[in-house]
Amino acid sequence: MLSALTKILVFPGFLFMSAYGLFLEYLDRKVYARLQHRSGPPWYQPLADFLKLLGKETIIPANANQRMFRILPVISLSAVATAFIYVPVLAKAPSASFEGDLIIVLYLLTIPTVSLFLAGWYSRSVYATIGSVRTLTQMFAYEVPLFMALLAPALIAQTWSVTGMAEFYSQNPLYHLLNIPAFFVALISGQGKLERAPFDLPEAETEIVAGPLVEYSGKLLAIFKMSAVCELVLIASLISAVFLPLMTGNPLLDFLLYLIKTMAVLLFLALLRSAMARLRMDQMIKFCWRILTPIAVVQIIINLVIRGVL
Amino acid sequence: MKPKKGNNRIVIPIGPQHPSLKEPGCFRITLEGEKVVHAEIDIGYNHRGLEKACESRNYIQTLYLIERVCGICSHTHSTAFCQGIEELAGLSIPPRAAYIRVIVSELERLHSHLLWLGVAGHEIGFDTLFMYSWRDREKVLDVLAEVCGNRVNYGINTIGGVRRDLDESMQQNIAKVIAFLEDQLKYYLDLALTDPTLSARLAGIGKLSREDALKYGAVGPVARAAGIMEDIRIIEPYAAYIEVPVKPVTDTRADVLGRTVVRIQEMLESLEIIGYCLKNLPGGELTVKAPRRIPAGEVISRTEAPRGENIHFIRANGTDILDRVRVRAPTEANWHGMKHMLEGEYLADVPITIAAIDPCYSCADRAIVINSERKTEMMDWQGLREYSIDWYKKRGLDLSAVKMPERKIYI
Amino acid sequence: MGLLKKAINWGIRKSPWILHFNAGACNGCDIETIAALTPRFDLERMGVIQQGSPRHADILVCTGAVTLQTKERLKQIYDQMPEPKFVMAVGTCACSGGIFDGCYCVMGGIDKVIPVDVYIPGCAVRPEALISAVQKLLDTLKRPKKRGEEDAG
Repeated sequence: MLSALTKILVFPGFLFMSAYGLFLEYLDRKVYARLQHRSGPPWYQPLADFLKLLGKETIIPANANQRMFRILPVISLSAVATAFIYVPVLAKAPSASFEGDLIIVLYLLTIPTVSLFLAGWYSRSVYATIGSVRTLTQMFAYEVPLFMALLAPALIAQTWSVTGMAEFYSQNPLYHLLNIPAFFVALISGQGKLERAPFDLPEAETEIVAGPLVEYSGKLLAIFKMSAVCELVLIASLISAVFLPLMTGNPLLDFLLYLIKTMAVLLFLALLRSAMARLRMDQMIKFCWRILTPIAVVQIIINLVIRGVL
Repeated sequence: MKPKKGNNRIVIPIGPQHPSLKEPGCFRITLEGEKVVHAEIDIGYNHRGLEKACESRNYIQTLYLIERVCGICSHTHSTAFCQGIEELAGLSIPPRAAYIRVIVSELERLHSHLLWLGVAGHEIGFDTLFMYSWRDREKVLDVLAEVCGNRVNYGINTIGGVRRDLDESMQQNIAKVIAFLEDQLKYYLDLALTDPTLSARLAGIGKLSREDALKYGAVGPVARAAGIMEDIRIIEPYAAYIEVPVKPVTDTRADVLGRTVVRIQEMLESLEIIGYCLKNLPGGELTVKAPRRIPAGEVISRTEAPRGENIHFIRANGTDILDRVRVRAPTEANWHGMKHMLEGEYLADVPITIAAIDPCYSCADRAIVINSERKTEMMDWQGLREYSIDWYKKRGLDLSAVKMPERKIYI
Repeated sequence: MGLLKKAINWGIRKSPWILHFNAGACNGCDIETIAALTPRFDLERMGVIQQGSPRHADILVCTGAVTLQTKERLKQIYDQMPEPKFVMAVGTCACSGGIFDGCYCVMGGIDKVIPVDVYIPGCAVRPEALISAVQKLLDTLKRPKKRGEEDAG
């Protein structure tokens, strides 16, 4: 019981996820700054930001829905924390695993997006309203390719468990080469999921200030920001577990490999963020439906055929 | 700030404080979904009463005040003003001064356009471009600081010439910066024309066709991007532009991409001009002596600011204090087409469309726009009272002792 | 609790998010403020991020003499910011009205409208001065009682 609780709350659960999330955010900002010829923030910056927001006054707008306004950040964070339980950090030892947890993870992944939408909606500010509508519109664009790209490898592995997939691919690494298109689709739509440039329309600073979070301040904003960095860890871990399966069986070595893999995913995402202009909503939807989705569909068909041959 | 519902329309205010606007200006955009159906422009937040202030200062003081019309294109304003005064006083400036004015004015164009390029990048969410172009801009500011002593508001012009000389080492430094910028600018031009996300966000946005540009009286890069060759440096040369060859830069795209390309090519042209000026810099004096009292008369003086045609109307009355100055900054001319450009666009394109005319609110805010709906919120009773007391105090009437009954209803 | 308070105070010192507002400046100080964020000066080294929403900001970086039309908006933005909040008056105009003092449409310095913590004189303020001002403002937070002092600029 105690060990299960430790697993869920400390390592590799919530506490580890938050700490690693803050570190990944630092890495992301540092790489982004270096790519722009700046020196970037010091290593403790995300932690300082988080602590500062905890100490700030929390203002709730008079015409916002008080209860929803308070509860949504917590829902968002807890959904991400729950999803992280099913993702393997150490080899073969996620905090919990069962057949079909991939579906659960994907399902839980939509909750932060939906709570962001609701947060904007209940803020009753024009910028927040437009931002939240964009959040939802964008979700319909990237969700399909993201799901399909994550499901395609599952077809070959013939398991719906993240851990199972990771095991299958680490035993048969060559099969993984088949999934390379899906890997890139997942990375790019993952960028959309995380609402980072070029898909940062919901919080497009120059258009709608800060999108759904425009009215949030203090602790509630801190929780939302924490939820965003945890989502970053979750996406990076999920992609590296499904598409970069390299496992040795040695827990320490696997943990190191996990760090390397997630950081590699993050570097790619940071590069993507720095090299592109923000897309417009119509361009983003077109891009997702005309380019990403067909690639993912073709991937699924190929994987189905191969599975039939096997 | 509340969304006004009705026919699914939302009114979204952009400004006066808004991350895409570095200066206060307010755009009330009516949206239907993501489409802009109506745009209302409300400026005047930056109106400081500068023209009026000029009327109570002598010519040298006015010169520094005129420079503060705008911090980005300060040199072009002081040039236009000096030229006007020089014409009234019948002075002709020494050739070296004319060349130095041109060099500083082209350096200013470089820094202003690089600044614009960065802001444009920021508006479309491409912060890397913003950082790159501002990094290069620092080099231009370095030489400007070396030549003029200040990074912004150069203060190099004076009536009858310029205040500082370009020595040998400054010329070498300018030449170095030109060589450095040439490569960078070619890279940016290539980027603008080939980068897929950049051209996806810039092409076809903020269309202002040749006919519309003429109709709305657009100036500067906005007009030139629509194929109208309108450049004061060419059609009515001043200072050393009379001798220095200036190649016209136009484009036919008539959209934001066209304006970007025009600006980058103009920067390349500026490099050529600076190079020519440095090579042919004449020797001699820097100033001619200017009289303290300027003979009565009226003059219109035009210069080519980075943003377009800048017009100063000056009326002198024979004393050492000028009678009237009117500044028509280029942004003021470009505002008129803005509504036309915005309507029918996506909300996502609003910031870049506004940015594409390179608006300079402090230049343009020559008058307060009194908007009845908005004005009522602006000043409460107490504020109005203080204002009126101040107003009368300046006219020698102290009413502050008059007690007013406490009003319950605030206007 | 003492430790948490200390940690939060440390966070406040290390993570100043700024909100930039032009109350009627000539632009000069604004471009220098923005220039302080770009590669040459890079204020992000000190944790400064430019925020768009007043709700997220800690420091209001305010430039220019306050014009009658921006006055109300300036107050409104100041009120929207959550505590603890600080105001930096950037440029001579923001400190005292500067060259525009006495114009019919100008209120004078920022401190006529909202309380100011740091005054940075200069026309235009150089980015170095701005960086130094941010550092000095944050240093004053180490001595909690003296945070309102106006000698920080």
